[in-house]
Amino acid sequence: MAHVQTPKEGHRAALIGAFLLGALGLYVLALDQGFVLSVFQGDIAFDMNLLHELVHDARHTAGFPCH
Amino acid sequence: MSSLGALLKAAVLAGLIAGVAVSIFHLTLAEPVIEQAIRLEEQRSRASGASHGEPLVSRAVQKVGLVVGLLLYGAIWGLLFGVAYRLLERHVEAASVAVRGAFVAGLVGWSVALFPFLKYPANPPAVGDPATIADRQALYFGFVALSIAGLALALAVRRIVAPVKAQLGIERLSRPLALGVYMLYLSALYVLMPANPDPVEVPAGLVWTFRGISFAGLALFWAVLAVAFARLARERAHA
Repeated sequence: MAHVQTPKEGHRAALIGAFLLGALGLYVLALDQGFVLSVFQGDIAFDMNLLHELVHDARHTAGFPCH
Repeated sequence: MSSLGALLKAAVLAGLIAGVAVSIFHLTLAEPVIEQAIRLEEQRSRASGASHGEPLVSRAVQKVGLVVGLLLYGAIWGLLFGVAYRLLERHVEAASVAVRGAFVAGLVGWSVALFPFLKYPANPPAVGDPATIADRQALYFGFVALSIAGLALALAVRRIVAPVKAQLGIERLSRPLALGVYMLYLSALYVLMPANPDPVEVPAGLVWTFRGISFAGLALFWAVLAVAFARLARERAHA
């Protein structure tokens, strides 16, 4: 259980990768208003806002801004 | 927990376990309040003559979405907690990985969820103007980022002051000083950030019931994550 470890180069890249993955997930869960699905659906995605509608209740309970 | 992969795996699993616990909590307690708020919203829009039409996602699917969303919340914050743990573990003077994990989970949960809640408390559906959502998101996540920056500032103060303290022969000065700077920073952040611009035109009882349940859910999430991570880490240490 050696816990004091200087992160090696590869470690650092993996750590940054994990952070970016988390940030991306947070964007989808908490912020997206149609942008992600617009890649597949086109402009209509912004009106349908399906991801927002799906995780709607989770956004409200987690305290993320919603309506 | 020397390997990053094992650490992140345990952290994500702990987050998912916390996500399950909070899903059960909110299906039981938050959903009835959400239903009530949505009924109110529908009454209001009927009264004003505006028709929402059939919703694209039904309430039944939104309840599944609650669980999907909270599991995603668990996986995401589990992962980010794992990253924070690796960055912070050197600074936490505790003997066991369980105690260090609980301490880091407390710091992260406070910084990204509980403290932001005190400034921008959760609102039930029927509160929140669609026109201001981008502004509110910027305020909320700006606040979260600045809250994390406060933690980094406190750590930096500690690191800078520690050698000076040793030179002066004053023991135990760096910790209260860092804590003081942190408290001052948080107070300034809390006072200076603009308030949520939206009016709350829903009965106060409903709003505060929802906020109480929501805050309890967040506290439960970070508590379960801390306990689950401690158990998983201990198991791996003995394996």
